[in-house]
Amino acid sequence: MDNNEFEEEEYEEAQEFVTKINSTNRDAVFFAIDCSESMLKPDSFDIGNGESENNDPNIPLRSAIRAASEVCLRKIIDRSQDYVGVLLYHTRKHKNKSDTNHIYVFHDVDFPDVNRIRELNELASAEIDFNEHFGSSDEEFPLANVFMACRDSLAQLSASFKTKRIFVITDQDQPHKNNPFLRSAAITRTHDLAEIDIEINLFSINRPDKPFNFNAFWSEIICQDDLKKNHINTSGDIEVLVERVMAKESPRRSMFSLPFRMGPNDVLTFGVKGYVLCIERRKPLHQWAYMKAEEIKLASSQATYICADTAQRLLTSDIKYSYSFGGEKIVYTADELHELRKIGEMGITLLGFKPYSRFKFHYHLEHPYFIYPDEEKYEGSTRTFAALHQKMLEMEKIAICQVRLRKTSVPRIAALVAQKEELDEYGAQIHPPGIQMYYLPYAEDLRPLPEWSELTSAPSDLAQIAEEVINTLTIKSGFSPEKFKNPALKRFYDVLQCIALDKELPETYTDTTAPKVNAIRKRVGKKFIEFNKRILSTTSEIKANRQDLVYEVKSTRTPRKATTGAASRPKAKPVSEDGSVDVEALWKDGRAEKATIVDIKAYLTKIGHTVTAKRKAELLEELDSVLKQKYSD
Amino acid sequence: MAGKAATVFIIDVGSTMWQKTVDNTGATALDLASKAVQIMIETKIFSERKTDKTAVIAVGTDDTDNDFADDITYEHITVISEIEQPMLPLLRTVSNELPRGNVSGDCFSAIEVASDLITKHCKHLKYIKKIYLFTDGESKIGTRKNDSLVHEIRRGGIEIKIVGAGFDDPDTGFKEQDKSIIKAANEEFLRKFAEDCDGDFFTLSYFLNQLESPQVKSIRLVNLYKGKTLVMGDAENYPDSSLSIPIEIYSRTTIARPKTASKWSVLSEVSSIDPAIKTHEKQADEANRVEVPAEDLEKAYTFGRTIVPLISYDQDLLHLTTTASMDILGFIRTEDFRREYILSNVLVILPPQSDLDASLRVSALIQGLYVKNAYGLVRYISRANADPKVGIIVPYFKPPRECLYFAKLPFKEDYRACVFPSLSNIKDKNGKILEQHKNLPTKEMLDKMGEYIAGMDLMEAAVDEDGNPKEHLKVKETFNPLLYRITKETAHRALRPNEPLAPLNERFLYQTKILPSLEEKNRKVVGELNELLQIKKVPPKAKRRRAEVSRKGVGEIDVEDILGSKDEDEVMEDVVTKKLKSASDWSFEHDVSLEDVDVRKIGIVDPIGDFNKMIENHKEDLVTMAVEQMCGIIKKLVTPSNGEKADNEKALQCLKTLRGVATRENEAQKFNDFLRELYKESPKEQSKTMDFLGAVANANITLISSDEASDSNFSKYEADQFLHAINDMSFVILEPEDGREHKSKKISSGDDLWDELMS
Repeated sequence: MDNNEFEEEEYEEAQEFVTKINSTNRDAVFFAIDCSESMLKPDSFDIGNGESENNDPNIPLRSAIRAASEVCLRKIIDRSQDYVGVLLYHTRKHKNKSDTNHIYVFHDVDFPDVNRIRELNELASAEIDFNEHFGSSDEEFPLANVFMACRDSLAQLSASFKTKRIFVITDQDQPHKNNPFLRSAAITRTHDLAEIDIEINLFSINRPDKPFNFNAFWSEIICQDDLKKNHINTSGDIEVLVERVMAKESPRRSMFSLPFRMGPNDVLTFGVKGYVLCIERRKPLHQWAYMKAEEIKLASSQATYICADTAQRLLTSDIKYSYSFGGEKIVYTADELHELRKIGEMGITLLGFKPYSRFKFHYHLEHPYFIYPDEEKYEGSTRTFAALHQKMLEMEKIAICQVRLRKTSVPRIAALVAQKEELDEYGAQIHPPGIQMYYLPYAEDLRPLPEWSELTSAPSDLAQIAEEVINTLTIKSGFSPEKFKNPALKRFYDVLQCIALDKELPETYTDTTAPKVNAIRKRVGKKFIEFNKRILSTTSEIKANRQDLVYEVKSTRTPRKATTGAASRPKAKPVSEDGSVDVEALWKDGRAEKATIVDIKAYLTKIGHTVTAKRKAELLEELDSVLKQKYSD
Repeated sequence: MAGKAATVFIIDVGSTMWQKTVDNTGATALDLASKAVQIMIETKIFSERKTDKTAVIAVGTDDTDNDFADDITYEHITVISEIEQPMLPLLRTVSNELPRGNVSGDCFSAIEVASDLITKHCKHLKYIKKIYLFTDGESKIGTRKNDSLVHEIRRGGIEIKIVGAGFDDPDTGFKEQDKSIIKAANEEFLRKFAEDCDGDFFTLSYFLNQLESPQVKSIRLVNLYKGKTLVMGDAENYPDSSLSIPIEIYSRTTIARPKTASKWSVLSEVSSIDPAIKTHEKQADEANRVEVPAEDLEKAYTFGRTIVPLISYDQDLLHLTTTASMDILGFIRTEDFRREYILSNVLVILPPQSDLDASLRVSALIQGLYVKNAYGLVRYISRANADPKVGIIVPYFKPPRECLYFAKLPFKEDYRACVFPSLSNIKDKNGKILEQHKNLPTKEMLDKMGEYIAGMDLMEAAVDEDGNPKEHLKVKETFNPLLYRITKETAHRALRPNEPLAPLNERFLYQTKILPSLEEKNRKVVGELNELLQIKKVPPKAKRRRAEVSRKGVGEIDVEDILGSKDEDEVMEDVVTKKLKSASDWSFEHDVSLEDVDVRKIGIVDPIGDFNKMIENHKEDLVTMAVEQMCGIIKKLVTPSNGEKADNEKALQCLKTLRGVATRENEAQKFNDFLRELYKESPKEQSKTMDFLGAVANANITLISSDEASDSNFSKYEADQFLHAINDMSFVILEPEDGREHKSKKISSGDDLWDELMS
C-alpha cells in the first residue's frame, strides 16, 4: 500500500480519526468491588435459567468480577489504549500502596491483557479460591480509603486520559450508618475526586431482603443528573451489569470544532462541534511479528523510496508528486498539492434553506456528522443554534451548507437536518437534539439510473400479494443498530481471543443476521406459492401479448418509414444494405458524380479495390472502369 | 459510456481569424477557437482513454496537406493531426503553434476532409463521431451541392457542431456591425447545413462559456452483484414457498475521487518511477531500532498487549466463510426509520435487462413497499467470503421508472449512542423547568430566525436562462471544485511549466458562498437577528480564563456547582459548558497534536514534568496556560484539602521551576502576582502557607525583578525586599510608581502590603 497522503480517502480519514481519538482521549476505569459477606451470598433474583456457569447460583461478587472481565475484553477489542483496574474492598487480606486494611488492589489500572482476563475469569468461576486469597470481612473501615486508593492510581495517569472513572459495585446502601465522622470523610473524599476530574459511578445491587436505597447515602456522592445516569441499579444480573457498564463506554468525543456562519463577514457566526455517532467498524489490519527473538516482537514497517534511476534512498524532500498527462509527467511539490485543495473557507457556511423533501434518498454518500453548539469560542452559540434548530423543525426545512472540515479536506456541500430530542417513557434520552449533517453528492458523484429501470410493471394482483407479505412481516419496532451485532467482527475476536487465551476454538458460530427462513416460510410460505404461480401465468400472458405487439409494430412501421423517406427526400441517393450510399446503383443510373468522394472511396474499398486516386474526377474514372469490368463479366 | 469516440476539430486559421480582435480583452477569433479546442483536448488527455481519439484540421493555411490535396477544391487545408489518442504535443500545437494563413480556405471542403478522416478511421465500427468547425465565415465557401455530404453525415451518424465567431445570436439578440456580404452568406449557408445534418450551431462566445462550465464525465455502469438473487425465505430447500429474484446492483451515488498523484524523484531526470521498498524494523525499544528481513516476520494481531502470530490455518478461522447473497429479513415502516443510520452511498437494485420474470417480481416488491409505506431490511454479502452487512431497501416508484435503492446500515458496533443536553428543556437545580435562560432562544429570536429561514430559501433563489426564478444549488448543478481544478491545473502547468498555480475559476467560488442576491435581500434580517442573538466571540485568551479557574485548585468541575452556592443561572451555564468541555477539548485546529499525546494539563503527581512538556510544546503556545496551572498546583500542594499533608518540598521545587520559566518566557508578572497572592491569602489559610513562604524565603526565591525580565515592574531592591518581608514577618511598602526612589515604612499587616503592592 502506498501511503501517499493524497490518496487518503475521506472514509479512511474518518477511520483513522477514530483511532486517533481513541489514543488521545483515553479512558481509565477502576472497578471498586465490595466483597462484604452479603456480596458472596447467592441472591434471590436468580431465576435458575442455567445461564450462569456451572448452574451456580447468581453470586453478586462473581457477577461483578465477570463484568470487570467482560469490560477488559471489550476494551481490548474496542479501545485498546484504555486502562482498566480492579480493586476489591471489605477483604480480609489487603494489598495496596498505603498498606490500608481491607483494600486489595487486584489489578492496578493498566492495559487490560490476556492474563488479567484469565485471572478475572478464574476468580469469577471460583478456580481461584476467593476465601483463601482475599477473604471477606464486614469490619467497618473508612470507605474514604477506597477512594484514596483509587485516586492514588488514577491521579498519576498521563494527560491523555480524558476520562477517569471509578465504578463502585456494591449492595451496601448505607455504609458508616452509625459513624457520622467516617461518613462525612467519605463524602468529602469523593468531592476531592471530582475536583481532579475523577468521576464516580455507582452500580448498586439489591439485596434479597431489601432493595437498594440510593438516597440513604450515595445520593450525596453521586452527581445524579438526567444526562449522565451515574447511578444504575443492576439487580445483580450479570448481563444487565455488563450491558450497563458497556453502555457507559462511549463518552462522546468531538471530531471537529468549527465556526458556523449564517451571515456574511462573520456576522452571525457561532461555534459548533461535530461528532461521528455512526461509522463502520472494520476488522483491524494485521501487523508483523518478528519471530526470531527470544520474545515475539512487533515489527513496524517503514516504506523507503528508492530512486529508480540513481538507486539512491530518497528523503521526503527528494519526493515530489506527478500527474501523468498526455504522455508526460507534470510535477508538483507536496505544498503545491495542498495549495490546490484550499478552496472555500474552513468551517460551515450556511447558503440557504430548502424543503426537507429536496433531500432525496439517493443523495446519501456516507455517515452523517452530528453537530451541536459550542460555547467555548462563541458565547451565545447555544441559543442561536437552538433557535435555528427549533425553527428548522417547525418549518420542515433543511439547510444547505458549504463545509470544509479541515485544511486539507475538499470542500463539500451538505444538507443539515434538525433532529428532535426524543425521550423514552422514563424521561431518558434516546435520540439527542442536534443537527445531522449529510454530505450531498456533487454532480460528479451521481450515476444515472440505467435505461432499463423502465420496468415491466407488475399487475396489481402481484403487487397485492407483495403487500400482504410486507404486512405480515413488518417488524413493529423498526430498525435499531442494537439489534444486529456484526457477525464477522464477533467471529474475528472470538477466534483471536481463543488463540490468545489458549482456549479451544469455537467450532460453529451463529450468525445473528441470518434470515429467519423458517419463520418466514411459516408465515408467508403459502403467499409465495401463490405469487410464484401467478408470476408464471403473467409472464406467459405478457409474452404472448408482446409477440402480437411486435408483429403489429413491425407491420405499421415499415411502410411509414418507406413513404416518409421517399416523400420528403425525393433526390435521396439509393441506400445499400449496410446503410451506405449505393454507389453502384447511382452508377447504373448514370448519376455516379452525385456520390461524394468519400462514398466512392468507401465503395471501392469495400469491393476490394485499392484506391489510389485523390481527385474526384480520377476517382470517378476509376469507379467507371471497375464497374464496367464487373458488369461486362 | 465508455464507447469509442472520434472527434475532428476544424479550425479556420485564415487571415481575418487572427488579425481582428473580437472582444475587449484583445483576443482574436483564433485565440478563442484555440482556447475552446484546448479545453476539449485537455479533458480527453486527462481521461487517458485510448479509445477517445482526436484529429485537428486547419483550414486557410498557406500550405496544403490532405488526402485530396491535388484537387483545387481542397487547397489550403492542412491535416495537423490524424485521428489518434491526443497527447501533450497536440495540445501544445493547438495552444501556441497553430499556423496562421494569409489565404482563405473552404470550410465546407474541410468538413468533407474531416468526414473522410472519420469514415476511414471508424469504418463500420460503432463510434461516437463528431466534427467541430470553428470559423468566422469570412472565407468563401464553394457553392457546390451539399446534399451528398449532408446525407453522408446523417448516415454515418456524425454530429456536426458549427461554432462561429461573430455570428448572430438570436438568444441574446447579438448582431455583428458591418457584417460582410460573404460572411452573411456563409453564416446562412452553415446554419442551413447544420440544420440539415441535425447538427448544432453556436456562436463562439456562447460555446466557450458552455465549455468553461464543468462537465460531468459519464462512467460505465458496473454490475456489482453478477448473476445473483434477492431472496426471501428458504429458496434452496423450498423454492416454491419462497421468493427468489435475479437482480443486478449498480451504484447510484459514489464519491468521485480526484486522480491520485504518484511519487516522483527529484534526483532523477529521466525516469520518475520509484518503487517503494518496504523495510521492517524490530522495535526492541524506542531508541534501538533494528532492521529485520521480511522473511523472519509472521502476520500477527494484537489482543491487548498479547501478540498473536498466526499460522495460515488460524487465519482462515478468523474470517467467516460466506456465499454471496441478499436476503430480506423483514420489513419496517418508513416512519420508524431514521436516516441518520445510513452509513454508505446508495446502490440501485434492478432485474437483469429484458428478464420479464425478474422485472415482474421486482416491480411487485417495489409497488408493495410503495403502497404499504415500508422499507425492507436486508442482509447483503456482496461476494463469496465477504463479511455480511445489514442494509435497507427503499422503493423508487415513478413509472415508467421503478427500482429499489439500497444503503448500508450500522451494526451495534458501528453505532455509539450519545446523550446531549436538551436544547429546549433546561432545568434549575431543583428540577424546575426554566422559562428563560441565556441558552434558550426568546420568542423574538425564534420569530426572527423564522424570517431568516424564509428569506434564505433557495427554491427560487437562482435565475434560469429565461430570467425565471429557479432552484439554487441543485445537486446536479454543483460540481466538485477539486476534480475540475486538478485537470485545469495539470494542463496549465503542462503548457506553462514555470508559472505559478492557476487560480480557481470563479464559478466554483460561487457555490461556496452565500448568493449575493440572497445576501442583499437578507441584509436587514441578518442584522436584526445578530442584534437579538448577541453572539460574542470569546477572545483567544479564553484559555487563560479557564486556567484561572484551575488556579483555584479546581479542574473543570467547580465544587460550588455541586454545593449549589452559585447563582442558578450561572450553574446551569456551567453545567452545560462543563459537559461539553469534558466531552472533548480537542478540535481540528489542533490537528497536529494528534501526532503525539500532548500534555495540556498539569497533574499533581509529576507537576514539573508535565509543566516542562507544556512549555516545550512547539506546535502550540501553552506557556501561559502552563504557568497558570502550575500556580494552581503549587497552591494545592501547599494548602491541601483535609486528610493530606502539605508537600512544601515539592511545592518549592515547582516554584523554582516556575520562576525560571516565568523569567525566560515573559511571564514574570504572572509569577510575581502569584507569589503576592499566595502571601495575601495566607492569613486565611492559617499558618500553612506561611510555612511555605518561609521556606521560599530561605531558598532565596524572590520576586522576579526588572533586571531579570523586562516585563517585571519591580526593581531588584523591591524584589529582594519582598523576600525579606516574609522572613522578618514585617513588611515593606513599595511604591514603584514613585520613580526609582523607594520610600519604605514598616507595617505589621500583610493585607496592607498586598493592597499597596497592588496599587
